[in-house]
Amino acid sequence: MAGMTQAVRDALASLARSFKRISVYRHAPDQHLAYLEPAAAELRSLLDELPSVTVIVEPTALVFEGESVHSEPARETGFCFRLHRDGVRSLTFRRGVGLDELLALAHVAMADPQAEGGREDAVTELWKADLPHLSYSAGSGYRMGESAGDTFSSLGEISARAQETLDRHAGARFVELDPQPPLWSDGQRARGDPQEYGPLSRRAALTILRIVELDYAGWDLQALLETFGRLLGQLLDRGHPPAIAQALERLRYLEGSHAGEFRKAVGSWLADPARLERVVQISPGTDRPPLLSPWLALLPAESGPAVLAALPQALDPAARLLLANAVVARVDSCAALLPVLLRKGAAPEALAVLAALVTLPPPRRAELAAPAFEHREAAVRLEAIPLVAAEPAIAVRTLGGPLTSPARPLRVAAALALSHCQAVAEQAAGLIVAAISRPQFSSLDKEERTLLYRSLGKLGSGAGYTFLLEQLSRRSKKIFGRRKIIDRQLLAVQGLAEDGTSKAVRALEDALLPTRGYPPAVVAACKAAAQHLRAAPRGRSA
Amino acid sequence: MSSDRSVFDAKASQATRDLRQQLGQQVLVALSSVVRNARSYSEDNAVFNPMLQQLQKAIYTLLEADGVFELALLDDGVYLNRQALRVDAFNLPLLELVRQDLKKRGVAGLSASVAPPKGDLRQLVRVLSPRGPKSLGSRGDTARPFTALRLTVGVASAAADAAEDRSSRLVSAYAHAVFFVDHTIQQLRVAGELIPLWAASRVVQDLVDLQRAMPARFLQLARSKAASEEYWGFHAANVAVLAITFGARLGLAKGRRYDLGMAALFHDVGMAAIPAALLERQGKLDARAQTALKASPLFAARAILRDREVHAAALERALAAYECHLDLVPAAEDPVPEIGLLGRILSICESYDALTTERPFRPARSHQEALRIMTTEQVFRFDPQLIDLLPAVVEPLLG
Repeated sequence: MAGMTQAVRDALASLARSFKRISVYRHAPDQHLAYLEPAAAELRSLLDELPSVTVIVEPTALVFEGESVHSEPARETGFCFRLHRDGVRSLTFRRGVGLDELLALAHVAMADPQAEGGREDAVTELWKADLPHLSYSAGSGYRMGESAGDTFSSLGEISARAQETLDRHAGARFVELDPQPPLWSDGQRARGDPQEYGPLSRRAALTILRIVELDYAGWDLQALLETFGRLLGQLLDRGHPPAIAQALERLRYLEGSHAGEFRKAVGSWLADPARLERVVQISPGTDRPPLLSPWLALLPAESGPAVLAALPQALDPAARLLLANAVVARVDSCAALLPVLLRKGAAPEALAVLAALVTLPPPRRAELAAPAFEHREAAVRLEAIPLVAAEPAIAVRTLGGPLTSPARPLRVAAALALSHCQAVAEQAAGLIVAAISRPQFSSLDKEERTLLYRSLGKLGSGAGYTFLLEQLSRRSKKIFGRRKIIDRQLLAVQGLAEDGTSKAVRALEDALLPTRGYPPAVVAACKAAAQHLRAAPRGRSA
Repeated sequence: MSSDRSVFDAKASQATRDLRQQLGQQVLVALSSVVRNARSYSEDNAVFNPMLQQLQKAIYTLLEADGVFELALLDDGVYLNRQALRVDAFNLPLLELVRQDLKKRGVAGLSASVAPPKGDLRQLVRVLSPRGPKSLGSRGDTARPFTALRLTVGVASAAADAAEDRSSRLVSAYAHAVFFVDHTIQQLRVAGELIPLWAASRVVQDLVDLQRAMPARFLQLARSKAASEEYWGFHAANVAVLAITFGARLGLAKGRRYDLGMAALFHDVGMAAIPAALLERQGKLDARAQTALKASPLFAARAILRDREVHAAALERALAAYECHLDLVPAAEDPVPEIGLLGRILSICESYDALTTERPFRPARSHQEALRIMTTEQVFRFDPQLIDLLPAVVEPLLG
C-alpha cells in the first residue's frame, strides 16, 4: 500500500500543479485542457491499478488511507480550503475519469477572487457538473431543527403529511413510469431558454429600479444599490453595452422618493476612473442604444478629472465629443487640468474639448480656450480662435500671434475674429495695422490682404480710419511703384467701405474730386463704395 | 435542544448565528492558547487569566443566548450549539491544534448548561496539560470532577446523516422544503434577514436527484396540501415539485432543473411583506389590500436581490420570483413584459397548485378541473407553448 500511497501522492501533486497553472492562466481557457494532460495521464495509470481512489478533503490537505498525499498552506485561495469550507469532505476518482471532468473539477475548486458577482458553493457546482467518474461526499446536510416556531408545523408533522400522501397515491403497488422522451427538441430548448447573461442582468437591473421607483426598497436600498453596481460591473466586464445603456437610461428618468439618492450613488460608482476608462474602451459614441450618453449624464459634478483622464481612450470622434462635453459640463472640477490638455494634449482631444467649450458663456469659454494658442498643432490653435473672439479683451490679448502666423488659415481666422472686437476696437486695429505693416504683407494673396483691410475697417476705430486714409492718400514717387500704390489705395477703399461711418463716406467722396488726382481705378472704386454706403448707410456715425 | 447538528439552524436568527460565529472564534482562540500554555505552565499561573476570562465570558454569553454551551469538534467540522462554525484560514491552525489535542485524549467536545465557575476552567487547564489524567470521564478527572463543565468523551458520530432509503429521503427533502420556506417567510417578517440560500440548495439538489430516480412518485408529492395558515410553505414546495418535473419533461439540464426548484422555493417570499391578517382575510379584497398583494412579487425579488449575488443562477431566482406573477397580456398602457423561461414555467405551476389547494376564499379544484380552467378560461395568462404541454406533465396526477 505504501507504493500506492506514493502513486496517489504523485498523481495529486500533478493535479495540483495543473490546477495552479489553470488558476494563473485563467484567461487562456483554450489552454486549460492541455495543462491537465500530465495529471490526467498519471491518474489514468493510477486508476489502472485501483478501480477508484478516494481522498478525504481537509482544509489544507488531501488524505489517502490516513496519510496526507497533498498539502497546501492555509489560504483562502487554496483549493482544499475552498472545497472543505463549502462542505466537500471527500473526492472519489473512478476509472475512466477524463480531461473534461478534471477541468470541471478545476473550475469548481479554484477560488476566483475576481468573481465579484459571487458564485454558487462548491458542493452545488460539483453537483451541477454531474461528473460520471468523479464523485464527492458533502458534510452536514440540511437538517434544520425540529420546529420553526409555534405558527408552523414541525418537520415531523410535515413529513407525516407527505408520507400519508405518498402512501395514499403511491403505495406498495405503485408502478414507476418508464423513461419518457423529452417534450422539447434541442432546438426548442435553445430557443426557449437562451440563458444569456446580458438580457438576464438587464432585466434584473430594471427590476431593481422598479423596486426603487415604487418606493419598495425600504431598508434594503443600500443593498440593492450594491447589487445594481455589481450587475453593472459584470455587464461591463463581460462587454454588454446595450444592457448597461438601457439600465442607465431608465435610471436617468427614475422617479420615486429615493430616485435622487439612488442616482447619486450610482453616479459615484460610474465615476470610478477604471470603470470610466473601460466603458470608453468598449463603447463608440455611435452605439445604439447609446451607452456613453447616459453614463456620462449620471456622473457627479466633481468627476471632471476622471472624464478628462478617459478622453484618450475614446474610440471615435463621436465618443470623444461626448466625453469632452461631459468634461466641459463639469469644468469647475477640472479647470486646472484643461490648460494642460489644451497646451500639450493630443490634437484630437484638444479639438474635442474646444468644440465642447462653445456651450459655456463667452467670457468663460474665451478664458479656457486661450491656452490652446500654445499648442503645437495649427488645427488646435485655429479651433480656439472663434472661442477667444467671444471675449474681446482676451481676443486682443491672444490673437496677435495667430494674426502673424505662417499658417494662412490662422491669419484669416484671427483677422475675422478681431473684426468683431468693436469693444476693444483700438487695440484690435493696432494688431491688424501691425500685421498689414509687416514686410510679409505684400507677399500675401489678394484675398487675404483684402480681408485684413476690411477687418480693419469693420472695427470702425480711430486708428484704423487714420491708417486707411493714409493708405488712400499715398502717392508713388517712382514710376515702377505705381501699381503697388494703386493696389494699396484700392484695399484702403475696401476698408473705408467696411468702416461705413459718415467720415469714411466723406473721405471716399473727397477722393472723387478731380483735383485729388487719383487714378481712374481708385476713383471708380471710391465712387461705387460711396454710392453703396449712401444707399445703405451702416448706422455708424463718425 | 435537539441532538441534530446542522449547518443551518433554522430556529436561530441571523443575529444569533452571527453571535455564535463570533463567540466560536473566541472560544477556539482561547482554547488553543490554553492547550499551548498548558504544556509549560501549571493551571494556577497568571498567564491563563486572560484566556480563561475570554472563555468564561463567551460561555456566559452563549448560555444567556441559547441556554446551553455545546462545542463539538468533529472530523467534518466544528459546531457551536449545533451551528457549524466557519473557520477562516488564519484560525485554521488553531482549530487543528485544539482538535488534535482533544482527540488524543478522547475528547470530542465541551458543554455546560450552567455557568462554569473559574475553578472548572482552571481544572480544564490541568486536564489538557501533560500532567492531566490518562483517562477522562464526562466530568473530566474523576478524582477532581468539574462542577458545571462537561466533556464529550468518545468520538461522536460525524455521520449523523445516515443513509436513508429513497422514499424516506423523498419525504424528508419535501418536508425540509416546506419547513424552509415557512421559516424563511417568518424570519423575513420578523427580522428581515438574508435568505440562507445555500441551505435550501441542498434540499433542491435532493429533490432534483429524487425526481430523476422516481419521477411519478415524486410528482405525487404535489398532492400534499396544507392547512390554510400554512399555505406558503406547502405551496412553494409543491410548485418546486411541479416545476422540477416540468423542467425534466422539457429535457432541461440538471442545473436548470435545480434553478427551477430554487426559484420555486422563493417565488412567494415576498408574502413576508404582507401582513398575515391580510393574507387570511376572507371574501373580496379592498383596493389597498390588492395593491399590497400586487407588490409582493417585487418584495420577493428584493429579498433575493439584496443578497448582492449577481451570478446567473441568483438572478434567475430573483427574476423568476417576480416575473412569474406578471401578466403576459398587460394593461393597454403597459409594455409587454419580458419573462424568462423559469418565470413562465413557474407561472403555470403556481397557478396549478393554487387552484388545487383550498383557500379561505374558495374551495380546492380537482386536478382535472384545474387543468381544464388553465387550458381554457385562463389560457391567455400563460405561455402558449408551455401551457399546451401541461397535460402531459401532470398526467400522473390526473388518475
